[in-house]
Amino acid sequence: MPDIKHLAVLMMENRSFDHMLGFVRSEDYPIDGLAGNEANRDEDGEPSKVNDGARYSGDLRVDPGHSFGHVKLQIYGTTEVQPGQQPDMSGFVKSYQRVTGSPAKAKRIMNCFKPDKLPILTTLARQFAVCDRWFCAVPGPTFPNRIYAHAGTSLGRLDMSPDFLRRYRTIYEVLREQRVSSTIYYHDQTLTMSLPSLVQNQAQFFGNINQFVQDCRNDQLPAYCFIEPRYNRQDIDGDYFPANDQHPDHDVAEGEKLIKQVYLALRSNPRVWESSLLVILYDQHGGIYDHVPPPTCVAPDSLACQQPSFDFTRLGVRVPAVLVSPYIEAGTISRAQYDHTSLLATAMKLFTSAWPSQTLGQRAAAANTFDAVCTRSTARTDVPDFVRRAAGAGRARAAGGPS
Amino acid sequence: MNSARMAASLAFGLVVCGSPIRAGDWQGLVEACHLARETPNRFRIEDCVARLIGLEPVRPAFKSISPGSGLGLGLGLMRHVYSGRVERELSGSAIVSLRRFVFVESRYSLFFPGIGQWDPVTATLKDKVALSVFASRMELRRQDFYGVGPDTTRAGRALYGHRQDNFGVEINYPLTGWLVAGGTVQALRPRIGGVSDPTVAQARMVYSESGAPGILAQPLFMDYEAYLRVRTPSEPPFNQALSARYAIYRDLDSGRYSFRRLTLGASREFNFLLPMKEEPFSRSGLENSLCQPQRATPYCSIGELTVSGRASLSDHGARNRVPFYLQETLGGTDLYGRDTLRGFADYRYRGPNLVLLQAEARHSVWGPLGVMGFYDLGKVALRRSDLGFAHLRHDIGLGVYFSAANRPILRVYVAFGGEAARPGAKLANAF
Repeated sequence: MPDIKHLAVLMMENRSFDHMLGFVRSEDYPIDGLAGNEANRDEDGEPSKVNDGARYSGDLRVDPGHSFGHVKLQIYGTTEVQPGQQPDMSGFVKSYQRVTGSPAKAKRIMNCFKPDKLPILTTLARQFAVCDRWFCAVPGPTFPNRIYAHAGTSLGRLDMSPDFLRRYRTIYEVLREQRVSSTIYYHDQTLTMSLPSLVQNQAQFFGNINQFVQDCRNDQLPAYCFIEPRYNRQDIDGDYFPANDQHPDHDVAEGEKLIKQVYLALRSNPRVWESSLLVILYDQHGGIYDHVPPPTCVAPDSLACQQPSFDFTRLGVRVPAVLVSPYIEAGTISRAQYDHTSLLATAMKLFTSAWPSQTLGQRAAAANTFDAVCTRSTARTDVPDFVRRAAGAGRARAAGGPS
Repeated sequence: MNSARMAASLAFGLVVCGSPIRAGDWQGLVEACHLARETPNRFRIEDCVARLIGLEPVRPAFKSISPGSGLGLGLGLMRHVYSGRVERELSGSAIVSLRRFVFVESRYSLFFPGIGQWDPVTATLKDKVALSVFASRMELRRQDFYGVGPDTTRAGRALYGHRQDNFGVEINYPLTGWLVAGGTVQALRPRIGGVSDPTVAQARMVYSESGAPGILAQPLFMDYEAYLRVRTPSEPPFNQALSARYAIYRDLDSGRYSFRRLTLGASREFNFLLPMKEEPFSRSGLENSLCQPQRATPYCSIGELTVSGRASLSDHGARNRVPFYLQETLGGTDLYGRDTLRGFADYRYRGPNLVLLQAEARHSVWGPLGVMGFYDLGKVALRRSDLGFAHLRHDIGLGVYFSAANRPILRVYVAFGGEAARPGAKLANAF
């Protein structure tokens, strides 16, 4: 097993697996992506098929619904779910039609990306590993999913209040107790800003994106780090920094640049690169189509949500998950089931002596870890194609070439 | 058209331009607030309120319009449309303050990648080109005036009303990760009037044209500005910046008030780091409080110091004057919301030329709470040759700040400047 000293997580926003990576599927790359004939019907029964015409922005000007009620409609095709009914992923167009009021606009929920429109994500997926069974933690919106990624539970919440002043036990505290360093690097904001246990030791737990790049360069990256994109445009003295989180309808190309930046930062120092595992992940599907029904799962604790009624025993919709490390063979496809608590499980397994453990809830204790995707005992030396193109014409190709 | 009708027309325009309300945002608000009403709890109520404040395209807006305005409330417009790599934004606000100051603004902007920045594989810059057309009106019912020059007294305080319309175009172009260029072309139409309070001294009665240039008649101006800005690192938060801005104000009526201005600015943030011999987990809480461990680095921080400086030099020629309402001010907060000499009253010193140096030190004491101190010094001058480091006014201040995730979000302080002690508070956005 390679000696992974740094686990870095970059969590983007609101895109489904099929939407971002579905059309990467091919005969020689058999991820559970799209065949091209998947379809959903609208409220009038008219079918809409998946297509590879997604644009960087402009398709989803009205934000697709991704609250619990909307996700229920998306995955069951109805809001009146019968006991024992299984999800059939038939309600995405209907859900978007209820939000837009327009059957024509509703079809855009089936728009997916051509692989060459996402050269960064697609190249990293193909040159390292993709997990085609990574589901978001909760069939609901951003905040509950993100708090699962930090704490393994949302304490029964499905709402979007930014108030996390209640006592959550997070992976950062667990690691600190084991004398393991961790940091949340962010751009403009992070929901963890309101977690009292982290705010008490802010200087230790928080950094900004410039410091992430610097820490990589100086070989001062913590063992575990969580990187958050820019969620809102920043206008500073007239300088306009767009959102780069890829939340609809933000410019997806800006998120590609962020993914590239994080990847290149890790590669900037060979010692960091050769001891790192990067997870590129999305918090939830954003209401966008995916064809794989989310499975049932273990609840993290006994706290259920009363209104809407939900006991946290079903995962959310599948999201893109790409693992990057020099210890991963090119073209790796991991079919194990993961959710956001797999981050916590893997971090505890890699960096603590207290694994397996229920310290962050039963879901995290039962979650699959993804460290086994690193099958190589020696680090690869090749450099994926997009990096060579970014370096410009005339620079020598890195030794080895892609595997 | 009087100002109230204009504000109402603009506000109506903002609402109409914003229709139809984005179904997704409105629907999310309705769902969240319906849930909060049916089964109220703290989180559902907060969710409902957060969605109301962030509603697009029309939302509640809060703003302090100018020094002395009090808190302003009104409506804000934000309609941001994405299309491929290009973003279009219609924004605006219509604010009325508790003291009946008015601010109405609308702006239409385009944001797009610069040359060579369209392909995410080869792009190197984090920011986009910003091109805007804007129009605004402000009505400032009571503004303080103490005369012009460095030696004015508090006894000379009088009030004036200031209304100003602006209409123009501006561009901001990132040339490299650290260098930005830009410019503005705008028309300004100022109007100076009295204050509807017979108990206060009126600037138009107390001061003549020589003591307050431009007080009797205000021309239409064209303002042409160009700037260069150096900032590092390549995306916020920036820890150092240098700027140079050159502006030409042309008096289109008589030409008497035409002038040029060069403004130079610099700022730098220092983080005072000490090497840590032990890991933070091995240190006591007191040690970690006095010198805060910095992530996984082998350093701890005893505090931060921000220093900044600004110099503004006006050239008006022998026969012209810089109108007082376009002169630089020192004291409190200036018209553009910038802190100047915080120990002095707003607009206490006014002149065509200015130098200002500031230093603010912060030390985190416990979690989100820290202490701060600052020192400001500066002066205005009637002639450029009088600018220098002699006879600077200065103040000192102490206070506390609250931070989240290492960003100060609220500062509360008291400043002492040789006149009365002045309390102050300043919000810095963390969200």
